[in-house]
Amino acid sequence: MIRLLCGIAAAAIAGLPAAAGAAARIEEAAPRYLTVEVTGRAAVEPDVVHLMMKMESSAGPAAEAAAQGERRLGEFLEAVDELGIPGLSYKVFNNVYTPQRGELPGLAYVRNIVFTLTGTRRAEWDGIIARIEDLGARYNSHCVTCIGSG
Amino acid sequence: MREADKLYERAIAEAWRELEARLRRLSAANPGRRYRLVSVSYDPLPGESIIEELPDRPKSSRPDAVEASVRLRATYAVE
Repeated sequence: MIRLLCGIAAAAIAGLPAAAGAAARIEEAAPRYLTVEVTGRAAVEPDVVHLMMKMESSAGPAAEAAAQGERRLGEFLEAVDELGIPGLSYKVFNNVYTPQRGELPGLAYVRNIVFTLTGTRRAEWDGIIARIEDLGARYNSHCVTCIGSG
Repeated sequence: MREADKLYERAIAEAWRELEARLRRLSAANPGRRYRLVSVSYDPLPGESIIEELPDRPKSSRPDAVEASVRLRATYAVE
């Protein structure tokens, strides 16, 4: 029994410096790490423009607001077609009913139209977009956002 | 290859150039140290339309440029 305890104590004493040495070696061997973060950017002139317009009409009953909105939308798109702008296409999205703002009774009916202009010289863009926006204003539609893509 | 992909490739190349430049500056500041590339991660960030706003001109309704950006995170072992 005494011999066994002595053995354990000897092992413990002998083990201490050895364990410390091993730990030190691990620390020396472990590399330090460095993380570098960068942001790379690239820009290009857009060759496609998307123009989103919103059309809103309001009335007391929902059906009336929708019928009025659809009629005005049809008239607006017909007028856009008549402009005969080459490279212009459009798609109509969303049918959204929302309560009228403020204290007004009834519903507002909203549709979004996305116009896409491709294959046109950039110098002509401002003029074309202005024509669409002006036309939209006559039909109670306004430009919400304009996005270019490469 | 789509135009957008080409734009992101250019952004990645730009990020690598910046990374290498930083590493050169680090090496110059710490002579005798070696930096070994261990890992790289990258996140493509959403593209952006850029509209230049000039004080003497009304804001344009169309973008002047489309910009793509990526974030590269490189980890080096310092030896």
